[in-house]
Amino acid sequence: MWKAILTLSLLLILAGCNDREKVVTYALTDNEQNQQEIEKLLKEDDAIEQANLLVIEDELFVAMQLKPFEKWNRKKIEEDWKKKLEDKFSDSKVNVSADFKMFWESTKLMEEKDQKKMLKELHALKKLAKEET
Amino acid sequence: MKEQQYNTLKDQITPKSPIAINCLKAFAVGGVICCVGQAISFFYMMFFDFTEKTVGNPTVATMVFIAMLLTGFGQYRKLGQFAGAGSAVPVTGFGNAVVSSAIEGKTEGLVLGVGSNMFKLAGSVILFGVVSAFFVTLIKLILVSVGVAAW
Repeated sequence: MWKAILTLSLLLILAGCNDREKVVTYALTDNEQNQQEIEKLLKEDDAIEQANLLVIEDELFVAMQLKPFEKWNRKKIEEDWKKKLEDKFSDSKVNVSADFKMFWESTKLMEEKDQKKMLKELHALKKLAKEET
Repeated sequence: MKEQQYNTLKDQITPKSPIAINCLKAFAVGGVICCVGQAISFFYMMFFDFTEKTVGNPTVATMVFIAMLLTGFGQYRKLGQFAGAGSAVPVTGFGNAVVSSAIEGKTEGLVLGVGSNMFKLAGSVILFGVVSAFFVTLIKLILVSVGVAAW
């Protein structure tokens, strides 16, 4: 009986770990090299649990989920990443967010086929991120 | 009877309260209430346009509303009896304090009863909340102007 419960709970715990890659990218651009570079950087950061990278035209949108205890430094991590990316890719509009809402919406956005609609939704998302109250 | 005698007698007669078990109950029930709050905030983030920054207000409002309904139906009293501080410390305890004192004053009329009793206990929560928020902000303002912290 106990063995069965133990095995079941272990299985459930393991099933809880999803097999999603740490960084998922959606890119509509020709510059493959840039994109791979950012991916590599994101993967190397230990504070990040998961990240979504959206590259559309000149927009560069990074939504990430931090590890629980790193959430104390959320603002600092966001600013550091924004600065880092802006220094490297000065010709694109960089947006970095560690908000759950941004991560959730960007995951949904990646399944969107229509590029015009996607860009519109991305702008709405950027506006939402600026809201204070 | 002298005061000391009375105290020793009182200590003998009073049944011992199981502190450890009470703490555990409060921990578990308080945790469950917080879990419900987290679920509600995820709900607002997934289905409405709230970010992690702005989701606090609607979540608190919903939690207080649920606690008020439960108090009105007489269910929150049972929870409070079981969990003690576990049900009083989260924001739901505030809703319970407002509605229970309003119900208490119902017999004395709408103005002098419900109106004046409603914030009998919750009033001090609001007062000290505002005052402590003022002082915390003052401290943070000083820290920011010195350059130790950022807003």
